[in-house]
Amino acid sequence: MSEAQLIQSACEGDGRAVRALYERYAPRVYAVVRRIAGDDELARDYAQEAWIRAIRALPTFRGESRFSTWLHRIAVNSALQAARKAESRRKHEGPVLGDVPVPPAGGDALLQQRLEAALDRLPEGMRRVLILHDVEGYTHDEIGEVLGVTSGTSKSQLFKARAKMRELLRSLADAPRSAEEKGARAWNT
Amino acid sequence: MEHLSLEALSRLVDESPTAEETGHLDRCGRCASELEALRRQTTALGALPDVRPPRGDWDGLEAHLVAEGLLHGEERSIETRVAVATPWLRRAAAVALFLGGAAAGAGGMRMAAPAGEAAQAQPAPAQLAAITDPGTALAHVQDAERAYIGALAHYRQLVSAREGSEFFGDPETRTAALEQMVRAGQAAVSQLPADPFLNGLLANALAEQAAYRQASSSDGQDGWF
Repeated sequence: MSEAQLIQSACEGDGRAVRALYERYAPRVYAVVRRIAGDDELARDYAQEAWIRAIRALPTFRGESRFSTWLHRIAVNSALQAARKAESRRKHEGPVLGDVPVPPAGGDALLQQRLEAALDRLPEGMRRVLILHDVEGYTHDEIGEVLGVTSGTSKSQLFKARAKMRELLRSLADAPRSAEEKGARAWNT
Repeated sequence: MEHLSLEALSRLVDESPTAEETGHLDRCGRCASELEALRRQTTALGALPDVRPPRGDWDGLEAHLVAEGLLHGEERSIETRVAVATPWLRRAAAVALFLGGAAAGAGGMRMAAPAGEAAQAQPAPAQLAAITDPGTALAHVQDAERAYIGALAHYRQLVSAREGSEFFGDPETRTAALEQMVRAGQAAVSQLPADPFLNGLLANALAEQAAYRQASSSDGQDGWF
């Protein structure tokens, strides 16, 4: 079944078609919302909310862009909106700190784990811009649009975020036995 | 010599340096090296892989979509119906599949499923080969689905009947069973490395093994299920 047929069937409430779209795009959606959330529990909620919004909005998908691009934009907007709400709640409740487990990965697993761990430790504003620009490839104009800031602000935040990221990566390199790395080793035994 | 700030160097990852900055970078190895590190960092961020969602995420999403009327409940997949069963049953099913798989690895493809009507409902290989149209295939899949769910229910009854007995109670048997599960999982994942279900089973087995080792080393008592 082609993607267009899957989308059509999913619009009609076909569970198998929705599941097929989910299987195809869940890792992409989860990756971006996980990085925006900076936390596994929040990420699960954000991902579910993103999918619900996308399925609700499926009848409005006209095929003017690729489905993956359309879905990705919904996921980003949904996660950013949820993150703002969570941030607002945290201001009242105080920060929650803790190790963030990172799933095992092949290849440059150690580097990836350090990058993900450093991303999680970035201040939220910096993290969002860095993720959207350096990870997701958004332009500053696009970032300005989704975050409601000027492209100049986006640039300025990006440069600060890269610098902070560099410092965080240096400190993580000095502490190699992080929880994430121990977890990865356990998986590989 | 005053060095360039990290923020200024971050800008130079994707913007051209001024004449003054170029001159400094030509003379200062430390700043040139930092700029190179920032470029590598940016490249690595752009190459970060996608992340598989945690197991069970689809179940919650599907339940929500059904409740909202965005999905037809009757079209829920076999995986989902099994997944939304009680957590105990899901875990028992995983163990049964692992042990069945391990047994099949040792002595041919023979599933350690309970006998009875569920097992009788399975089509023989010759029957499967004779399926040539989607309608018949669907009917067979639905039969298999019913048989599988029946087998899980039967399995649950069997294990419930043994509650209080020494089911895997002997530490050596239990350790060996766990190792067998991990080996079976690793073998399965090596064949189908992208399969989320098999990866989930392997993760469960490794977690069980680690938990049991920890409990054993501290003389703790934990339940298998």
